[in-house]
Amino acid sequence: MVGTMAVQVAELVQAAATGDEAAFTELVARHHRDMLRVAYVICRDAALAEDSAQAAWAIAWRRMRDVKDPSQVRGWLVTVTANEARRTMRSRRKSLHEISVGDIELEGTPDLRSDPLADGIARADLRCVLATLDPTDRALIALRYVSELSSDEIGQALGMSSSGARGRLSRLLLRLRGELRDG
Amino acid sequence: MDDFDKFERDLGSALRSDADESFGTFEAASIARAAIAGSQRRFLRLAPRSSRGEPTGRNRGITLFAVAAAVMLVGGALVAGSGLLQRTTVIPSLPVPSFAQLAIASPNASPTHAPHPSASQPPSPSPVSLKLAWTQVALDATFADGRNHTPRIAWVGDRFVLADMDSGAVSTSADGANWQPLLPTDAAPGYVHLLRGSISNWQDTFVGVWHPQDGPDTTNTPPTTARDVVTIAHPPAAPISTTPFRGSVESIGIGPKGIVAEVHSVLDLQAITDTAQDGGVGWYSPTGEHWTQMAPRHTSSDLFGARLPTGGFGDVVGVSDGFIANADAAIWYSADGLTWRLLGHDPNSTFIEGLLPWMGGALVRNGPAHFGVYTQALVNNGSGHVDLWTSAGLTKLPVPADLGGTVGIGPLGIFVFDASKAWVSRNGIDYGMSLMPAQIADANHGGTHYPATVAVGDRTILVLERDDPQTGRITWSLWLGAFEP
Repeated sequence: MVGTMAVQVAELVQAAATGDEAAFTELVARHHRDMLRVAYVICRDAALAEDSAQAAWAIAWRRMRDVKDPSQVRGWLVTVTANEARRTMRSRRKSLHEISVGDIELEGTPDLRSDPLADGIARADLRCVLATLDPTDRALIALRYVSELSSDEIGQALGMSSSGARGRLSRLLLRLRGELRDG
Repeated sequence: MDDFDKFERDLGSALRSDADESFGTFEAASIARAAIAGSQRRFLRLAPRSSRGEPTGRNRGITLFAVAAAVMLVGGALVAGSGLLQRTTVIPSLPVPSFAQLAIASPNASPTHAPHPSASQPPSPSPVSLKLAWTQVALDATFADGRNHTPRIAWVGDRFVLADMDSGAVSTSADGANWQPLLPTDAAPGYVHLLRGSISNWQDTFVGVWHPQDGPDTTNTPPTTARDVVTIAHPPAAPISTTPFRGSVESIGIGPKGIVAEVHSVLDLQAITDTAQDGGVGWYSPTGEHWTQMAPRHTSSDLFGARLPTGGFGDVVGVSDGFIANADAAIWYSADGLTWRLLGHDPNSTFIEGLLPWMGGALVRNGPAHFGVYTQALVNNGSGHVDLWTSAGLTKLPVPADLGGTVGIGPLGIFVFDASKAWVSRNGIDYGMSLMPAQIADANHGGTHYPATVAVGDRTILVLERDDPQTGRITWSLWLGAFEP
C-alpha cells in the first residue's frame, strides 16, 4: 500500500514536472497541510505561514523537475517551505523583536492555560516557549517533530552540519522538556 | 517515523494540532493556480554547499607531501585504489545571450596580490578570459562506487587532497589532474580526519572538526557523548588530531592570532548548568594545543544579535588582525580571540546566516538553501553587492549579478557556481562569469542530499559531485576547471 502510494506520488511529481497542472494540483491537495504546519511553527502567524507555503508552491512548480527522488517529494516540499518561512521571519525579525513575550501573553484567555494539545502540553505553554526561540530553532523543531525529517536531512536543509543540527536539536529538546513538562 | 520517546511524540502531536486549528480548509486548485502564476517571477538564486577556506598564501617552498612522494617514487607502493585514470575534455556550451553579456574577465587578475576592496570601485568587466574550461577527471574504482566510498576534497597547503572517508585512501595533486597516492604510514589518516567534517584555514595552517557519530563507523555508531575530533594541519608536518572539548564544536575559526571555537555542552550533560541558557562556551588557543575559556556571559536570546561573548556565535572566522563572528544580525570583532566588541549590524537588520573567510575579512552569507537545495553560502542575494566585514567595518563589494551557490575559496580566489553558471573572481572586484557544462549542472541539479564540494587551488578548481540517480547506482564525478588561455 505504501509502495503504491509512493509510486503514485512519483508519477504525480513527474507529471507536474512536465507541466501537468492537474497533477500539480493533486500534489497541493496532498501536501499543503504539512507545509502549513511547518510554516506555522516557524512564523507563529497564520497569514505569514500561508504566504510562506504559497511561495514554496511557486518554487515547487518552477523546480519540480529538479527533484531527484520523486517519492521523497514531501521532504523536499517541507524543506522549501521551512526556508521560505525563515526568510519571511528574517525580514521581519527586527520588528518582531520589539514585541516582548509578555505582550503576547494570553491575557483574558486563561482557559488556554489548561487547554491541552497533547498529554501534558498546554497550548499557552507551547506558544510561549516557541515565541522565545529564533526562527532557525523553530525550523529545527518543525522539521524534526512535525515533518519527522532526520537530523542529517534537517542539517542539509538548514545549512548546518549533521552534528550541528543534532546538537542544537538536543539542546532544544532539553529546554522544551523542562518548560513544557515542568512549566 | 523514528525512535521518538513519548514526550517527542506528544510534542509533534501538539505542534500539528496547534497549527491545524489556525487553518481552515483550503482549495488546492486555487493554490496551484496562484503558484503557477507566481512562478513567473524571476528567480536566479540557487545553491548547494561550500568548502570553506581562507585564501592561502602562495606556495610554500616545501611541498606538502614531499616525504610521501619520495616513498612512492622509491617503493612504488600504492594505497589501494587511489589513482586517477583518465581525463575527458568537456567543452562548455556557449553562453546564452542573457549570460553572454556577463562573461567578463580581468586582464590583470592576480591570485597573490589582491587589492583592498573598495566600495567605490566599480566592477571591472573585461573581455580577457576569466572563463573556465572544464575537464572531467575520471576517478578509479575506489571512488567510483559511491555506495562504499565517500570521497572529500580540499586544497591543503600547496596541493589538492582527495580522501576517501571510508577506506582511508588519500591522493594528492598539485594541479588537480595528476594524482599520487599517499601512504597510510605518512600523513594519510590525519588528512582523512582533517577532511571528514568542516575545514577552514589561515594561509597554510588548517583546522578541521568532525564528530565520530558522523562516521565512518555507522554500524557501531559512537555515543553522542563521543568527543569531537579537532585536527590541526600545518603542512608538511603530519596533521595532529585531538579531542579537547567536552562538548560539540559548532563553529571554529582560524586566523593569524590563533583559533577560536564555540562549543556547546549538550554532549556532556554534567556540564550543563542551565540548559535553557546554553549559548555555548567560547575557547581560544594560539596553536590548537592549549585552550583558554572565554568568560561566560548569559544573555537573553531575545536581545537582537547581542549574544557575544559567548552566548552563541553564528560563525566565527579568522581575519587579518583577529577574529570576526556573527550572532543573528550582529557582527563582533576580537583582536585577541578572548575579548570582543560589537562591530556593527547587518545594514538591513536581517538575520545573517554565517560568515566565510575571504581577503582577510569575513564575507557574509545570507541564505542557507533555496529551492530546497542545501547551501552553505549564498554570497549575493540579488542586491548587487556582497558584504565584507573587517575590523574597520563593512565594505560592500559590487557584484552586478544575482549570485548564489556552492562557494569555494582558495589561493586562486573565490568561485561560486550553481546549477547553470559559474562566477569567479581573484580579487573580489574583477570577475568572470560563464555557463557550467551541462554534465556538471546535471550532477548538481536539484540534489537535495549530496551537494557538490569545491576546492580552489592556486591554478585550478576542482568540483566533486555525487550523483544519485534513480537507478540507485551512486557515482562520484570529479571536474577540473582551468582558465582558458
